[in-house]
Amino acid sequence: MAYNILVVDDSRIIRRVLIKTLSIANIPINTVLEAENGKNALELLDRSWVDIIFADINMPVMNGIEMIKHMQARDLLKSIPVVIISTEGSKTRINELKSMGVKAYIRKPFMPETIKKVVGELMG
Amino acid sequence: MMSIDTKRAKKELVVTIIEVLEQMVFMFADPVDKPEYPCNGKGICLHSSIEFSGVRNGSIGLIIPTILASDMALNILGMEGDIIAEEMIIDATQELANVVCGRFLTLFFGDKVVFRLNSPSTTILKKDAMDTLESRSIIIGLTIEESSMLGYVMFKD
Repeated sequence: MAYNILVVDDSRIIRRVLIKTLSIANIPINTVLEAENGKNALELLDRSWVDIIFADINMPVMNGIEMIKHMQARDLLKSIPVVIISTEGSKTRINELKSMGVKAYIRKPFMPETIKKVVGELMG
Repeated sequence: MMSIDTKRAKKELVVTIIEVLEQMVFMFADPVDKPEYPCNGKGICLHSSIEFSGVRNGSIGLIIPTILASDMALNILGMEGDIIAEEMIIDATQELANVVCGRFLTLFFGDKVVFRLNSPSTTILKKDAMDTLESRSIIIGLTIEESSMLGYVMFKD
């Protein structure tokens, strides 16, 4: 099975590196959608189905936490696994994110092995 | 408000930046005893910084000559050659500042504290602005290959 993946990060370079990393990790990909903030991502989710979302926390316009809150309020979106990729190392913040339904947390900079392991665990 | 151990901040900022450069840019840096403006007669210096707020407020920044910043962006993207779009260079230095900031704050304040990070920004840093920065922040210098760069953390009162 090949996955539809949404990458949400305000940094174009990080989006590009993550997409490259997914490829290096041999994750089967159907399509990769990109959004530069949470609002943009929700707009894409209104018209496209994705299997997994990789999102940053700190973004302008709408951050990752607000995006997850919006997703949790919508039946069709709340089942999509969200993986947070961020620089933050606060355990308090990570626990808060997990209580909001976030499936995994990866700290930047990330390695292909970590991405592959997380996708494997989430998608079986 | 908790006081800042300047010596520890300096040491942990060095450790953080060296680790981030190794893991993200695949470049190996060495600390210098006396940080100096890295663009004296050597082109333009990019200054990428990010503000944080929480138990302490302040900002963290990196000052990188454009030639070195360009090599860093190429390394992050795993690209060869020497041409890369200016916006990618700026994006790369901002992302480096972002990662350094997140890691430094966790190392310095521990992993129970939550900080809010603003979006990073980039300007060109001139020598006179460097003097002001030096007087207000905890600043460190690194040599990388044949170039050098600076990092700093500035705590607001």
